Amino acid sequence: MANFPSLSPQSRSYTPGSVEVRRSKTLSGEEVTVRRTNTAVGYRLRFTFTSGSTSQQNEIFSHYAVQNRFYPFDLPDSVLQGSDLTFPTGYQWIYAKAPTVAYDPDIIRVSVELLLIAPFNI
Amino acid sequence: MSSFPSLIPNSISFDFGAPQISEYSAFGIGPIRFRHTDFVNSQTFSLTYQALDQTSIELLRAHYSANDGTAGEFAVPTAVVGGVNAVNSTSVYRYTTTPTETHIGFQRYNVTISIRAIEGVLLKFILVGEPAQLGSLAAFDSYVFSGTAPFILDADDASPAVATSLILNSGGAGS
Repeated sequence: MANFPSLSPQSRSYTPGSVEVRRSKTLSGEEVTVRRTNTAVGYRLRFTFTSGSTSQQNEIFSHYAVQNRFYPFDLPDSVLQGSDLTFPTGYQWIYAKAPTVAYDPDIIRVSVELLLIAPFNI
Repeated sequence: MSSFPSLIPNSISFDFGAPQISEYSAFGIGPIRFRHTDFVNSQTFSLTYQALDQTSIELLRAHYSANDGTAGEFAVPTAVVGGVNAVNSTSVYRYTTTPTETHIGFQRYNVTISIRAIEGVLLKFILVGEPAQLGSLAAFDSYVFSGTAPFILDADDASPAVATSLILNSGGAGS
């Protein structure tokens, strides 16, 4: 298991996890919500790495080529720096989808979206 | 029931909700509508926060987490929604979606939070297995039940290994 490359993103967004619920609504408008688990799922992080060279792109691609959507991994502190985010113990990240790359003159932007998943054995 | 943090957003937007009306069409006549109650609810508020500091974002994170995400209900201070008089005073709120925060700089955050007003009735069951502990009494006002929580169904005659009881707690009761 290889950790995500120790890079510093230029932008970052975060969506916390949510618990699974089922909602029922009556004709009179009352609404009942049934929570089906104590565990929140669906934590997501999105990063954009901007660089003038292809080095970051290559690091991320190499990591994605090995881990892809199958092998979970941990994040280095550099990608979460300053956010004070915490996550459930033992959970790890997988790629939510394939990273995308946008080329502008002398600027390369790599967008990465990660999904936090519960521990499991491979 | 928790209360949304008293953070004044940079901007808000909302709709006026919907009455509890069902409608169907029949041959030869126009649509027929039934009004089930006079209550207008489901007002959706969008609260936009810009450049929140670390302390403020931690308040929002903690509230979302403690509220069980989109599952739980909570109150919203009037100041947060700009003092608008668009909801019934008995309404409570739920998160419509999971908010996404954007990190715009070192410990600076943009976030838009969507909440929806619902009719202020709470229904909450907690099934406590052995060994059940009787919580403290809590006054409540919930759909279906009205009185003083908890309601207890004692299994005195069932001779269980451990004396069991089924406690139906009202919404908002902390036990």
